[in-house]
Amino acid sequence: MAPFNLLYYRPDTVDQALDLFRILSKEQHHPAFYGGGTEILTRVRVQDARFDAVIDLKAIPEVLVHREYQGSAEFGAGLRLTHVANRNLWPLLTATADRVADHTVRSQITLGGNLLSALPYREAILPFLMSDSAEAKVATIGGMRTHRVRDRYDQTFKLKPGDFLVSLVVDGHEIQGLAFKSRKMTRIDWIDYPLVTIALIRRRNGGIRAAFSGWAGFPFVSSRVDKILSNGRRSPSDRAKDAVEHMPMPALSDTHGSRAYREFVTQYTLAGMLEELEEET
Amino acid sequence: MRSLTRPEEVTLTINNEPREVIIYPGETLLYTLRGDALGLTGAKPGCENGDCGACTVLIDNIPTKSCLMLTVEVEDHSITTVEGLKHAPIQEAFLSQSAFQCGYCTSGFLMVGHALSLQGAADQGRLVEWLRSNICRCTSYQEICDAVQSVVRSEVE
Repeated sequence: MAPFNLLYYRPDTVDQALDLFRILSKEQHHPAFYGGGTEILTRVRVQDARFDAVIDLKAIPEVLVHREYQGSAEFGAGLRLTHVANRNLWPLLTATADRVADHTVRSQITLGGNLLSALPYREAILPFLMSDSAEAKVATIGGMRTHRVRDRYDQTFKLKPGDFLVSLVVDGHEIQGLAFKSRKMTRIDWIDYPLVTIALIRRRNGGIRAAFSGWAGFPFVSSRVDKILSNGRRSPSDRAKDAVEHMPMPALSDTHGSRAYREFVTQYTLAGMLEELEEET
Repeated sequence: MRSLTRPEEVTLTINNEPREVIIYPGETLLYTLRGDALGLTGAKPGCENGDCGACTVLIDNIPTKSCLMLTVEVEDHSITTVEGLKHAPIQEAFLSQSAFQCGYCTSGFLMVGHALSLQGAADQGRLVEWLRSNICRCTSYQEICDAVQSVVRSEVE
């Protein structure tokens, strides 16, 4: 494969990155912020993207933060998924992020790259969607802004052109000792896009929260589904059946599986996960 | 700030040696390694989409699919290709276990197996998880797994 027609920039600071995006855009270029590069390079290869300049964020210290700090856990958007899993500050995030792609590719994919992917499958965002406290630090021309993840998420995490995700912060108290289950179901191979990925947490008040990826063209959570799943007076299989019938949108029907097959797999997986989660807690 | 907007000569550290090569900004590491200047054709172009693993090399001893990385990203890192293994234990193990058929995927599997052997102990689950990154169309998986197992210290030992 011949070299791609790309200009490459690797700024050292947040301000340099923001300025570069603005200047390149003004010069009629089509810049993209670049994390691990796996998605940008594959999309450019099949001419599915118009980027002609990349701004590699991996030399910016704020993007590589990975720490427990003042009762919170902070994850830089430039962290590789394998680093997130190996350090395991948040076991639920480890469980979901550690099933993206394959091990070698996970050592290239960054947390921010997965969260902001143009693909439907963004398993690493599921824990943040279920969290009450998750906040995103976003670099903007006007300075660093902090947003609640759930407030900025509508099918994708909303960013204005030229802004970029710096890090995500969650309350350490919320994630400590949290009971959870996470399962990625594929049609045949272990390494594949998911028919559905399901993450469940059991909150301290006993309520269940669920997040899904693969069911639709984007990851989602649903308060209606959570309410159904939290009704402990009903059996796990009844709740799973009801939840599948009350999803906020119909299941995808694609080469990975038909709508009926996705519904079937989701229902029995959800029932099994509920049973395991409630037995353990 | 580093930028590369036109072809430029850079120095890469490949198999512990400095190598000077002219690269384009949008050039993948796979393309650079296999080009006439370096001629390191052990990393194979397969899917060039990050799926097959035939192009795997090590960057600072971490397996990396070289079709999914720009060369300019690895200027200040150590690159190891299959040519740099030079009778490493994993190569001997592949021979003794007959862990290949057509051989196209072999260099990628060797690099993953070698990297895992450098990591210290690994249990069977970890070994399989690492090897799942690569595809063998001849389906020599059992022999490959046995070969890697023979050079990776078991966690229970």
